[in-house]
Amino acid sequence: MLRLASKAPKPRSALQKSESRLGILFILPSLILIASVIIYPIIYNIYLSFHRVSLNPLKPHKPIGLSNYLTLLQDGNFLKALLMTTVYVAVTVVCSTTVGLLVALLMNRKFKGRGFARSLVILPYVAPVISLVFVWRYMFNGIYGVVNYVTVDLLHLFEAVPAWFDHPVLSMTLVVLFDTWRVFPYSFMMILASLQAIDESLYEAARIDGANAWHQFWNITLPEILPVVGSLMILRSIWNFYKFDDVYLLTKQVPIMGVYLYETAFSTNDFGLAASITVVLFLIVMSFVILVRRKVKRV
Amino acid sequence: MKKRLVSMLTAAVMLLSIGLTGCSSKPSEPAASSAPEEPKKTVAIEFMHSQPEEERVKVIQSIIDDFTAKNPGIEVKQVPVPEDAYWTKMTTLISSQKLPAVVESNIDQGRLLYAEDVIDTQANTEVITGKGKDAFFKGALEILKTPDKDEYTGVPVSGWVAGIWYRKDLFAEKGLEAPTKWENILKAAQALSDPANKKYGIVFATEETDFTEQTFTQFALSNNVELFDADGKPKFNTPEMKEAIAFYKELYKYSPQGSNGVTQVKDAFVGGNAAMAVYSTYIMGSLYEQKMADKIGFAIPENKSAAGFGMMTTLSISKAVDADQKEAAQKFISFMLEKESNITWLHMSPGGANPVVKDIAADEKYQSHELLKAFGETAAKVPEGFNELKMLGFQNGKSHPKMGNITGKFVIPKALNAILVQNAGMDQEIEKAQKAMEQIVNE
Repeated sequence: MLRLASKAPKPRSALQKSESRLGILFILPSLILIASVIIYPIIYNIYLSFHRVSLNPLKPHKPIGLSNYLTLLQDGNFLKALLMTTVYVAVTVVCSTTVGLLVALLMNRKFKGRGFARSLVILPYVAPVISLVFVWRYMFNGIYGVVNYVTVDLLHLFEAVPAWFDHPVLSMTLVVLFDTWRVFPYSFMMILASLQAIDESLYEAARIDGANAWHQFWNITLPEILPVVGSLMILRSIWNFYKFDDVYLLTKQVPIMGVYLYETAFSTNDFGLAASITVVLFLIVMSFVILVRRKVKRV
Repeated sequence: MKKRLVSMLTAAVMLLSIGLTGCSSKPSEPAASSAPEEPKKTVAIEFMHSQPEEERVKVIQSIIDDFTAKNPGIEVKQVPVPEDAYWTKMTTLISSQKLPAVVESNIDQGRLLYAEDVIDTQANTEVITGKGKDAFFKGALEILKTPDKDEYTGVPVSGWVAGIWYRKDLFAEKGLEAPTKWENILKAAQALSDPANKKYGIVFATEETDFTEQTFTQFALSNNVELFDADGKPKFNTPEMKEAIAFYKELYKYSPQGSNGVTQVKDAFVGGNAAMAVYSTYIMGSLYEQKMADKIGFAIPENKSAAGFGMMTTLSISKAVDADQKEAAQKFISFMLEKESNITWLHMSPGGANPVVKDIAADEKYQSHELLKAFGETAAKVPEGFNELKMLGFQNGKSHPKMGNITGKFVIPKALNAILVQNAGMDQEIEKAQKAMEQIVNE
């Protein structure tokens, strides 16, 4: 720092000036693009959050100050949704990453039919959500669902069909299972790619030193894949924080944030309130990302 | 320097050529001497609808071709939009002031369009009066009235009705009466229920969606439930409402348990696991495919009065058009109400879409479709449901302006689901719904 301060700034040559102008010119299209599709919508969203929004442009938006924010923060359901979302995100992220890691470790070993097995694993991730939701709803149907046929009619584990998607705990368990099953292939693919990049000589050296399988995993595999696993967990947390589709389609007993947002604001075209919810969520997610990045940097 | 000069010159030439191309694409003005007669002005209008399936687009195009052949000087371009994206498309078009001249909408969408002041209700009303108000089923027009004027949010062209579909063969075996009166519905549900063998007396919606509100509406309105008092204040906690919910809960004992939605209700009835189902006319196609049409009856529930629920498909005229386009749109919608074109429209989804014009319901050509013939008398009885058509939040000929928000926030389905499926206390949930309604009305 001192060394830098003690140096007198060099006068910039004409070539340097021209180069920097050219540089600005080159990044200008990207800047314009980012400003128009990211910065402008964020600013406009903040503006809307302080208004009662009218759909008809001939009717002006009515400024209402902090009213939307007050409505939101006084709503007990908002805090409930926030809590529910935190639990949902924490459990699904840990589960999907762990399953993805285990399957990636398994699929990284050589065996007959590995290519076919790998493509089968990816299936839940590439199938459309709506069709998967229907399959699950059919599986748990009280009249002809296979789950009830096995658990109630064949094994007599339950006297009557359990309220799979109506009981708060059962339905939370099922939506977590669904999400884990659906998205673990993504973690699997990323981790597998990272595993394949590890230098085989590291394992050879470890084996010569007498390291067992666990030691090899703990001291070589895990440190090598940790940056990918970390990024995966951050990304999955952000994505699942805004989750709506499969949860809403499967049950109404898990009111996570996406569902709350839809029911509170979008179903009634209250776009001002919707904007204020997204601003609050944006702040929460950004704080989470900044916090995690700082932690990661320290590590 | 030389390079810079060359590149600047190249850029200038390119800009100039773009400009010139733009100029050349402009239509050349006709010379005065070569145009002795003024060419006939063509009015172009757009018709946005939610029937994007290829077959339906072709059918609608055939109606448009017929219309344009009879009305030279008018061009109609159809804008098909998938149903799941329709609401978003509509709100986006309102925001950008680009709503097409003719917009298909249901009752709720019509209310939104009216609230946003983007539809010409006077123009809609002129089309209806042109056809004659008496030509329509009474209920079909009543529920389309605007909250504050004697005008209509749209011109009805078809609609679906919901009611109780029942197995005539099973009813005959047990000697049961048709499920119109409440006591007959309950008696039949009890008699035909055998859950151990996966047979249920009745199946209806219980999940937290508007489907449950639609189903319950029939029972509530048949008990003369009103959601608001004369001053527009919510009154959910009335004895009539409590009776209706208690009856709904009693029926639930004979239904498959859990949050039942469209799939569960339809599958249970079409699959032969339920003797009665509360569903719309869109179930007719599946019943026909299963060759069950001749075994099926249709009834509208009745206690203190008869009450059917249904949804209109209306065509509405946008305010974002000039006088010529408005006139063209009116002509087009009037044409859609004519016998030939209306029957073509209805036969796109036979059974599901029903006539709202009395003459067409009785017309031989309309009834000649093989699906409708298979249902026989039942099919003929269905459109009469429009006469008993009622909606919650609609009193003294006016709909409450906040009813859309109450439906959107699922106040009624949430209360019913809690009482029936979650086994919550009825009084407590009714009070909760009352408070939720008050909050929405006071917003």
